Amino acid sequence: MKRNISILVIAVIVVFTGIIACNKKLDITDQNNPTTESYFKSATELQNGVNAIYSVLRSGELVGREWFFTHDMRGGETNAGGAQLEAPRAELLKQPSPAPSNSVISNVWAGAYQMINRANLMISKAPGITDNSALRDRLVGETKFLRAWAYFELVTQWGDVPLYTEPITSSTGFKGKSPVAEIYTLIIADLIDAIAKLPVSYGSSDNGRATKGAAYAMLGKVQMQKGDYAAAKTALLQIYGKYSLVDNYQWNFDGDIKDDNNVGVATGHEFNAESIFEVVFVDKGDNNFNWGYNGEGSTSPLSTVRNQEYGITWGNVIPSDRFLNEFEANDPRYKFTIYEEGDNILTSVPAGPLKLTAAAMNIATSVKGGVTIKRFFRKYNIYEYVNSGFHPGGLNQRVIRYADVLLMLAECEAEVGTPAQAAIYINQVRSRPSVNMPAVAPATKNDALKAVMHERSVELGAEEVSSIDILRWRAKGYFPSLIPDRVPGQVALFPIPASETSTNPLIK
Amino acid sequence: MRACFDQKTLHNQNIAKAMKNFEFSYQLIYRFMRIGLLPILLITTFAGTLYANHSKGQEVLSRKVSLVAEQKEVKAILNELSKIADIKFVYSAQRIPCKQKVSLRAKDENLGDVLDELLVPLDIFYQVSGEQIVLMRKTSDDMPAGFPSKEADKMAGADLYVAKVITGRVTNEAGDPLVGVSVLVKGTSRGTTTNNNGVFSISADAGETLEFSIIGYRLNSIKIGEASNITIQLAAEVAGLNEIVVVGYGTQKRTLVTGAISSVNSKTLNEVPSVSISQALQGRVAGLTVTNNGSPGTQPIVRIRGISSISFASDPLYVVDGFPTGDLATIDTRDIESVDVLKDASAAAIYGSRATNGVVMVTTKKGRRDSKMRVSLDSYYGTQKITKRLDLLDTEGFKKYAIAYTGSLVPRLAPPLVDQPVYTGATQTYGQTNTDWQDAYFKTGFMTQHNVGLSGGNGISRFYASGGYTNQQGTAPSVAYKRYNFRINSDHVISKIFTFGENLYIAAGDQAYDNNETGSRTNLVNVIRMMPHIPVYDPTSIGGFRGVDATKDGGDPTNPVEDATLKNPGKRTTAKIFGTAYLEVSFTNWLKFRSTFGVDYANGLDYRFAPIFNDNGAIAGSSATQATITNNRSLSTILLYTEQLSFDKTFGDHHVNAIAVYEFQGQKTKNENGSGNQPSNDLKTLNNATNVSVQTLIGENNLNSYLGRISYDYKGKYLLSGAVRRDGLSVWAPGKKWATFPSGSIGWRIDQEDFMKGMSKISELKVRAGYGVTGINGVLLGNTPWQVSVNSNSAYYPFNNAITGGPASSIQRLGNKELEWEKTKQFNVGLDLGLFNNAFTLSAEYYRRKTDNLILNVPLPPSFGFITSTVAQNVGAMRNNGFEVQLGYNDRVGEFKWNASANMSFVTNQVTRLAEGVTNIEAGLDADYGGYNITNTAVGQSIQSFYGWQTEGIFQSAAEVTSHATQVAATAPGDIKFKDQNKDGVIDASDRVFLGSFIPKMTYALNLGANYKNFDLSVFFQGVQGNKIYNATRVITEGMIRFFNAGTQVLNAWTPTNTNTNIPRAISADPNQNARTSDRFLENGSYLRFKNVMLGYNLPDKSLQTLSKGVVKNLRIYISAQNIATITKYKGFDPEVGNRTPGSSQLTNGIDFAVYPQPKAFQVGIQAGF
Repeated sequence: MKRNISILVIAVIVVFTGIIACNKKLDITDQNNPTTESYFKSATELQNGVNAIYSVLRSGELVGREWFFTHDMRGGETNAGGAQLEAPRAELLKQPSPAPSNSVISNVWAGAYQMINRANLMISKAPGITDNSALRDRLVGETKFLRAWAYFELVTQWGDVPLYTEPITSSTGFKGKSPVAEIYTLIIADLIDAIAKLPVSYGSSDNGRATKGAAYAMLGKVQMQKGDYAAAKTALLQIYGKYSLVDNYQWNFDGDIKDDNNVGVATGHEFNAESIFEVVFVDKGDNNFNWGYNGEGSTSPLSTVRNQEYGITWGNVIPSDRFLNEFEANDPRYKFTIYEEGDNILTSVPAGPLKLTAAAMNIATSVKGGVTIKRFFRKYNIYEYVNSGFHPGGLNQRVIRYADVLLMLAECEAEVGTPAQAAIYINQVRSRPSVNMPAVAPATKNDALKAVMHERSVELGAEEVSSIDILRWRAKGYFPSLIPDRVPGQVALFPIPASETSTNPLIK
Repeated sequence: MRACFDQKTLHNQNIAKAMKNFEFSYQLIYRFMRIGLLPILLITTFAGTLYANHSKGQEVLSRKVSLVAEQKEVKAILNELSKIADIKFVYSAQRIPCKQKVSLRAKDENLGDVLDELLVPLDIFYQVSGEQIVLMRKTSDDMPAGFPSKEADKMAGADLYVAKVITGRVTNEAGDPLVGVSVLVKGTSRGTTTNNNGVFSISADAGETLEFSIIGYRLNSIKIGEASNITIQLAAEVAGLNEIVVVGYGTQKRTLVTGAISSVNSKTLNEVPSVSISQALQGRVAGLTVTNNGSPGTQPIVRIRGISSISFASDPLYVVDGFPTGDLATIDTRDIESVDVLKDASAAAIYGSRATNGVVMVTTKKGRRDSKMRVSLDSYYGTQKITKRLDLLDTEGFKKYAIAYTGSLVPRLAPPLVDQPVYTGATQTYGQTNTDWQDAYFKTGFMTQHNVGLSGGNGISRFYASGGYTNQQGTAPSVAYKRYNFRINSDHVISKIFTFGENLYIAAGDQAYDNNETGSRTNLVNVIRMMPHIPVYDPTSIGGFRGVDATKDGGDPTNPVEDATLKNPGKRTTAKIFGTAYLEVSFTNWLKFRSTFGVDYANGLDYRFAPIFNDNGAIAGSSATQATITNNRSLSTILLYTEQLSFDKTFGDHHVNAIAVYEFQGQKTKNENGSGNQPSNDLKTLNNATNVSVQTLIGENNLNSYLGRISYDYKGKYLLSGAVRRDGLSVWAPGKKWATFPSGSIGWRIDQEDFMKGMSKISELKVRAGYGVTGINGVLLGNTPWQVSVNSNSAYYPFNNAITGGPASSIQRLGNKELEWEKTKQFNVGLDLGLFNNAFTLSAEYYRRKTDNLILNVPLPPSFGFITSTVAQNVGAMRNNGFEVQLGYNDRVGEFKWNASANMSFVTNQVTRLAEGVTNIEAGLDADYGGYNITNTAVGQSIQSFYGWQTEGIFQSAAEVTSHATQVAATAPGDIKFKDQNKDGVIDASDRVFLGSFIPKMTYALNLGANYKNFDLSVFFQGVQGNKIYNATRVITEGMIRFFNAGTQVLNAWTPTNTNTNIPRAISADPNQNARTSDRFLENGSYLRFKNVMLGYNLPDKSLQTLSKGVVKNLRIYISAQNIATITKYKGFDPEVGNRTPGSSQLTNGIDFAVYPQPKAFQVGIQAGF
């Protein structure tokens, strides 16, 4: 029995040693990924986090696809290419307002808030980073610029929206709608902080990051949309003369192009002297698109389907008659912006020039000056180089370019009543070497405004500014006193998406 | 004085025999299983023999004695030793040469050595029995039939204590000797076992009671009277009154069980040839449903007492020899001794957090301690065939349908193409081709299994070893399963205190599968859709198959034979090592400690090679210019460590059994996924491949548990049991890792009451009730479901147009640190009744199960800014109530014996709460199957009920269309009329209603067995009643959503001249959405299946003896057949419809997306013992 007792004692010791050893093994965290506690501790990690805000920006939810639909379907510049235009996009063209369940607006809403939530996390993590405070501050500047951009998209298209400035940590952290004024307050504060923190320029490897100039241009745009033309002018003047118009108008819409066999066939003029902020896309030559929409996937395509949507195979979007007829008869920008049936275009793949025939164009016709033929957008197109059924493009989307800044300055001057000063800015744009249009000389405020309206339309056609311009001008009562409403009857704001109202108890 | 007899003698003989047997076994084993197992076997069996000399009585025999005797009588020396060593000698003076004079010298020597020196020369053997040493003279193996009773009185020596020696023989009812029966003098530690001839001898006084027990027979006892020679018959257990049930961390007598536990024995499990245990359980246990699913090699869906979770698959926990494991697929059913199914919470809660879906306890075979070597051979070969065919269009029919649907023939069936050869050089034209794609696709499969088992053992060691081989070739191309497996189970009594045992299983599995199978367009869908004018093969194509050209053939189905054999075949090889080893320490006979260590290791490789090919077709997937190699490896190691203290003691009328356990189970996984391309079909590996993509992932989860159970019974009448388990799981957030799962149950054996004594017809009557709390295995949620991980470098932003310019890291979802186990509370009442000596048995159960905190993915507002738009929360609630009956009857009329058993179960399921913001969960949307969700999970309904429109016939005229609620603009005569449920004049999504459930109201089975002389016959029926099936296959055959080949029903489509039909008009693109989810495709899913018949013949002993010269001990040959007939109204291939994605809860059970039917199968087999 004595021996049994000693065996018992030994057994008890062995067992308890084991228990103590095993109890420690319950603390297991994700072994394939870092956690929010372990990551975002260094400036490099913070930079990766900020890059993730950009990656949403380029996703299919935003600039890679749906973002240009929300603008172009409501900017009076486009029409349906035919019955093939999908229902939710066609619905945006319809008046007065899309349904809350519309998938295009739901995607843009979700994408904007993904940028905001990621930005909020970076802003909350930044104070803990000390290894490279210069980089950290610059990254905070970029973050604030991007957050401001996202909120500007939301406030201009939806009006009162939920305002989140902290990262979400709880499933009940709902926010109701905040008034437009509060959203603008945050946007302006963010941009002012961004201006303070951002550099004027980067080394070439960082081409595409937000700069001080981008923040000024954005601030000008925001102030103008808010109606504060003086403040807008102040901001915009900070970069006046710091950028320049490129000689060739088309250099604003080109980029590196690869053919279906992954061979480079064209080099563009991205990140040029006119470009203030652009969203970067790359043609990986793999003929795929990031259909997951969220910009995720380390090997996923980094392309945009803009050239597909506005091309002649999908043929979803064509220019509107109103837009086609906006051009002055001899404006070279018409041919830079539009392809017409019968045009000979140089197509290198497959080799040889291609004559555009009606039969080969899967689009509806349009009417310009009484002529009914098929036309489509040349801007951001790649047909000169690749004629293939499906080839997403890598052309960078210029979000703000200097011509826009000049025309915004012109509008500010027109608004504050200095038409001559407005004309100076307009004529800078018109006198670009490849454009060479005669100067304008508006005598009155209204003439100046009309000149700005025309010039913005033809210079910045299908560049996702018209929809915002319309909202601003409509609010000022310029339709129809100055020009007819480009999209009569349009309801200014989108409804809050159903995906939000069904899940956020504070928004009904 | 005479009789002395012993166990040590027997023991020594046994050892000698055992050694011989083991030598024999070495040779056999060497022959049978040269590969791998030998070293293990050698170690284990040597371990047994090495310890063989130390045995019971060691303590007595090691007492030190000093003695000097010169020419003294043996009797005197024994007397002296008796005093010195404080023991008593028992012997018969007649048999022992008491008066013989011998000399002996011993100084501080072991008593055993002294006795050997004294007695061996005298041909006397001895046995220690408690504080007595029984002496016996060696005669022969056969013990004397008895001693004259008078001689007992002459036992001599007042100075010696001499008990009466009882000898006897134990037989079964047929008079055959029973070997290894334990004989115990009640209330003492004196005991022995019967020898090979059923003979025993034991010393006992008159008035004492002898108890005889052996597994499989009823306990019998006899009070010693005058007689010293007795013969006793033991009655075989009829319905398992003394059957032992595995209850988790121990066993219990069936009579004392208070929970709902059903058991299935080895014979039943092996009646229907099955690759896996789960298939073998179909229809065997009330409340356990098995739905065969998919093609051969796919595991069936097993549910115990319904569905307990909305978000996760409700698979039961499988425990093999005490080791909870997830994978039963590789385990050979022939190695299984029994399966015990713990159904209710009071039984299952001992497995706490993993027990909600019930526990299936698998016990593998062990050797017997009867010193005999057994060799068994179990082997069969069978064929399998799918005989059911759908009525599909042939080429002529397809032409008619094309004209009706598209308005013209497809170009390939119109001039000039119709007269072209199907490929260059062929003599047959498209017009002459008429491929039956069902015949081209289905093939005759076969299945063969062989298992050789070896077992044996003695008082010291015992073992069971086996080698198995399974080969199943499916009834469809490319699907097959092969397995090689080996097992060695052994245990060894090291000493009175220590016992060591181990189970080791090694299996190598090789599954050929079809990667196209789980997609929405399965091969069977393409079998239906493929046009009959297309040939299967085309020798002019790269790869040898022929695909369609969408513009010439009218649509884009893919060649299913090509898909299965060329494009999508894959191979999953799995190596599994599964073993446990334990050391048991018996401190006393009522307190034991057992330490178990186990390993479950699996190494899987999933390899696919998709070659370069071109099938001369022109649709997506007609060709590949690069070969694609997929090479995914998964490693899993699960370690188990169990420390268990068991207490079992009887205090008068009180019997207490208690256990306390500490257990740790941890899993580590590693996945390595690689893929890439090669420019040649000769390059089948990733060596120097292009586009190589590699990913590795590791995972770990650990479960720590403390548990205890105490069972108490008073006079074996009033039963009480309570258990509690506290589990700590690494999967949950800190603070939520631990939870407690208590349970309790009571039982009353009414038949043991005095007032029942007179009612001899009632042999058993017990009522019981239990309640318990269980959980759902948290590992189903992943290793860190609560945690927010950073997806580091998971995306790029191409600054400066550099593809990897800006690595991006983000958080993409919201975590939930409050997440915890789904907990189910279950109440169970049961009744066990046995009549006429248990010739008739009945077991009935009623239960209520309720889960209050089901985990659902609750949608988040998109303004939260996460890519993952939901977060898992414990918010839902559901209940399952049910009733089960199991009936048994057996009877014997002369040489004709028969038995019947039946089981039935009824269950109702209701979802009682979903989350705020989650009013319902719809599932099953698939554009190929109508483009609408098919099921809906909503409060007040049973989980995933079918949900859609109700039809009201076909519009016969334009007037009818206008007077009916608006459907779509294009609705026209010949379209289906849907019911306007909400009377708003518009048919839209809000007119959908609940249409029924896939859950059968009743599942049942009936098993009949009979024996006559050497023949045995068993038949097995199984069925379900009161369920619905959504026959989505009919959407493919007659839905006419897009143009493909179809079923012959489409020729009966509505036309202005063919109005008396239920098939709507054939119209391109189905504008009215006639094929939307509706009761049109909903069918009664009840069926009764003649599942199995088996006829066996045992070769008579005599002829066996002459034929095999005694080598073959028994030989049974049998023939059997499965799925002989199915009675059903269901129109699809097979009413046994599972789930397209069985591993998860996709809420799509009972939707027939063209499931593989169960084949008809025939086997011949033999079972032999050597």
